[in-house]
Amino acid sequence: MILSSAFIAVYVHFTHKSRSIEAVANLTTLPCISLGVEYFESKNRVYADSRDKLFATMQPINMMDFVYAK
Amino acid sequence: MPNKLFLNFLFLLLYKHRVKHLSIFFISTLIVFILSSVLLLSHALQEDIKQTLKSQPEFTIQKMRGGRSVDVPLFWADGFESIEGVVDVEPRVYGEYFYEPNEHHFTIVGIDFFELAHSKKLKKIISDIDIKKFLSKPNMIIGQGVKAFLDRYHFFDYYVFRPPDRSKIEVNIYDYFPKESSLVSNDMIIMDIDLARQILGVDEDEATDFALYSPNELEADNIKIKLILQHFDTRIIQKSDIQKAYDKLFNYKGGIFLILYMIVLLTFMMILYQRYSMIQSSDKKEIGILRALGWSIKDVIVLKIGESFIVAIFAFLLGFILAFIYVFFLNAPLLGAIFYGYSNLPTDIVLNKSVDFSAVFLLFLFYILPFMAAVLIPAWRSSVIDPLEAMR
Repeated sequence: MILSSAFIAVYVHFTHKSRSIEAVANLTTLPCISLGVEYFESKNRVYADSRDKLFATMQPINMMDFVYAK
Repeated sequence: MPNKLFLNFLFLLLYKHRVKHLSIFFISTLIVFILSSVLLLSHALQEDIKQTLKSQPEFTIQKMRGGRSVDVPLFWADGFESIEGVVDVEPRVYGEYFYEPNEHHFTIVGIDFFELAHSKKLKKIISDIDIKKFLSKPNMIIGQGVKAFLDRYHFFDYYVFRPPDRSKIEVNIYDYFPKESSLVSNDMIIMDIDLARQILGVDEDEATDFALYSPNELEADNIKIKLILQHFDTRIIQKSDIQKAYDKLFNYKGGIFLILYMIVLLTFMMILYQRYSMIQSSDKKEIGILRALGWSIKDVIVLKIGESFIVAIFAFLLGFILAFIYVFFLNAPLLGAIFYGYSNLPTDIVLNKSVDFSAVFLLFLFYILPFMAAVLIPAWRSSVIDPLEAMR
């Protein structure tokens, strides 16, 4: 009980959020996490080239969408 | 519901058999500590990254050639602006600057500070910045990782960039990003957009990509089709794609740890089963006395389960609190490197403290239930001992 109450006290005391990440992201508008990847890897992983299948790529085009676009 | 005397007796027994429970307590604490650290780290990272998503444009448009993105011509912006529902088109200039001798790279981001909105945004990061002074000569603002790196090579006030045309550009270090923003700014260098063009070799009539803003989410699909119809050699990344990529990135790594946890938990259950199946003669005598005093088999099982439950609960609490301290106060050394990567600049990330209580509860269940299941059979086997035989 002492342990759990100590934890809750610490948690409640330190839950203020730093807004500086949001401020930097607002300025750059980049989804750019400072990942320590190798120089030949893509750091902007969400913008990775098509060879990197693990991360975001453009969604396939549905031809029916063109029909409705008309 | 066990009464006060029963609990008193239970704790006395725990104290008496403390050596027997000690090894189980330490192993349990370690298991909970490792898994909680992974959960806390993964959740805190995702929460922090979600902060960056709010400022992402609805569409990012890149020009593709041979599966790789190349610079986009600026005149494309006119076509994008003509699409209904698009309120703003912003060309962005950014890229990676490779420091060859050390095989490290920085992310250079060019910002047009002559736009009032951008300088206001910069003031939110560095409140006392003088934009006029900043733009008066080649200046840059660098992240903490870049600072540490340049300090090591004795570039305390400036750095000399080598653009693709083999010239030299000396850029002064104007200020640093706060440490709290290291998750996004650790390897980042911000400078004037024209200076960034020179260093990255982006032509004046080109940009790295376009950011398109559209306030109405319902129009997103229509806008996407119109964008595709305008240019076929583009890659269009929606905000939702970025969110999915982030989720994949950390769920994948967290998932590996969960699989490992399953294996560890099964092994731990077997250890528990064996440990509690070893009934010593003193234990037998103790149970025999209790049974002779009128305790039923059920009471003895409750006592034995209670013992294990208290050990498990305290191990869980201690493991979780240690994980909290390890992740949020010590910044998760070693484990953090798995999530951030460690090949480029050393990352010293300060995480915002956030706990996903539903995940903690799930962890509690996945830990307590197998623990109790492993203890139940040995507890029952020890409680059905014949009292007369046990006391002999």
